[in-house]
Amino acid sequence: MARDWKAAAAAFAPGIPVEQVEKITPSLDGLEAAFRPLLAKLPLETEPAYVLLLARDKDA
Amino acid sequence: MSGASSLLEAAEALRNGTVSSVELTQASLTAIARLQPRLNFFLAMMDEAALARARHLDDERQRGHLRGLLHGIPVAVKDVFCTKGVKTTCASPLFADHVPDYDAAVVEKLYEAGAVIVGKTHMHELAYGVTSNNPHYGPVRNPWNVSHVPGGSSGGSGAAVSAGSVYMAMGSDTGGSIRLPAAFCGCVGLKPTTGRVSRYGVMPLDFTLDHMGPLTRTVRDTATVLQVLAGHDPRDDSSSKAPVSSYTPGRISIKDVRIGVPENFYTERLHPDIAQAMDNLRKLAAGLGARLEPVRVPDMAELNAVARVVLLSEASAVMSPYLGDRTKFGPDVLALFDQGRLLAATDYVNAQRLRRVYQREFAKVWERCDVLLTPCSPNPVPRIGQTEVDLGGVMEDTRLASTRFVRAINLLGLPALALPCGMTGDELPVAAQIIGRPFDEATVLWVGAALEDTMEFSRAMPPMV
Repeated sequence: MARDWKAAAAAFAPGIPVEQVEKITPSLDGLEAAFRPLLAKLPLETEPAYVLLLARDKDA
Repeated sequence: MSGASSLLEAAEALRNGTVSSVELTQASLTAIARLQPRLNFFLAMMDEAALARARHLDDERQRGHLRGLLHGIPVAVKDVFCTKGVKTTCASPLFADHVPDYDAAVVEKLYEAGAVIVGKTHMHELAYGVTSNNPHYGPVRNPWNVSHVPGGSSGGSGAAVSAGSVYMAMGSDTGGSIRLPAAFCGCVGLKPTTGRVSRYGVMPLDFTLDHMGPLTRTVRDTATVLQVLAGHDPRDDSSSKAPVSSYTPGRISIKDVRIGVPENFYTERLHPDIAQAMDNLRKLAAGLGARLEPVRVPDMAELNAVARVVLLSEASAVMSPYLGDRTKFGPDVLALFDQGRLLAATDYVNAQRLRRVYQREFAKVWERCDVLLTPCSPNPVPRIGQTEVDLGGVMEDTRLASTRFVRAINLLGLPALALPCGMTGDELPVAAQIIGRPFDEATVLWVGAALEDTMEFSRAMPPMV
């Protein structure tokens, strides 16, 4: 499902001019098409790759 | 420059007393001053401080005191590394007057090892691009052909090393920004494993993809510099406590080393000159007794998409306090920051979760091989201003094409070396990429040095020099 980037910009980044949103829309659409299907392979329990390293550093 | 073409040769000449650090430093400063009008590869020079330091280091040597592996060697650092009392601008008007009151960890380590920093190299604006075509301070030019880009974002560092004006220049790499300028300028560049070299004191493009590493004339020079830089730094949360190996390879065999040759992805939409150079390199490796192992890698296009979500989100987060004044940004980087602002937080978190999935998946590759050998870039060195490249009849965005083979490696955190391996028909450099297991820079450098020993590209100088 295509995202409405103009609506997203109006809501979250109103400083971005409409003509700029139009210019970057093909790139965002391409990324959306490549990225969205990948979520189907994401196991529920998978944690993000960024971690707070305090425990590891303390133990090391 | 003073007859020595590599850092190790210069170090040997200093040891033998055939040259002094003052002479090397003066030669470096003279070369930069001569080439700057044509290459636009430095943003700031440190002439007086560099010569004073070189004099001091020569005195120390006379007294028998040697600081380390780089004692008396002139080097440069990209303008993302904070240097105490010296402007550090990230090649952006936002930081035009930024003078740090401290040195980055990398700068500290270089000084501790005795290096002489002669200046700060030019780069893509805010390290966010692959051309180093900077709208505020002009384009950096490729020493092999000044109408072509040097790659980016560490373009000035690539040009400085390639032109022989310094023996090493530091770069930063978030999606290929060390490896691509090395590849396009015909020098060696290493992106170390995540956590191997401290990011402390580096102006960030990103939080989880940024890596710091050297660009040099030879693989052994890179190994020497990594030996200086590697190690834990408690000031960088991502810094690793993994033991530091011995990186400097001797003249050693790669017989029976398993070199993985991807059957998928890295063979797609490849310029014929690059395909030919890679074919030659594989034959060379086989001739040295290496075992070429065909391997299938995970879908790197998927990894690239995940990496782009992470980078766009994090880079826009870094710059969000500054994005109110759009006049301070060039159009290409502004377009990227704007894209990042429109991505959902849930997509960023899920991209970081997918990163774990792919890291596990990619680890299986190492059951079949010790290193992976791929091209660094599918396309030849672009011209300045070229926005698209033609690969097999398909027009691709220059930035996305150039980063196709390097970007995902940052997501995976793996060490990767750019190694010159040929020239295109129009006499521009071509490079291979050697990718290794996490923290196995030693094997990457070993294989790179063995291949380099059988080629002469590390000694090739651009015609203009």
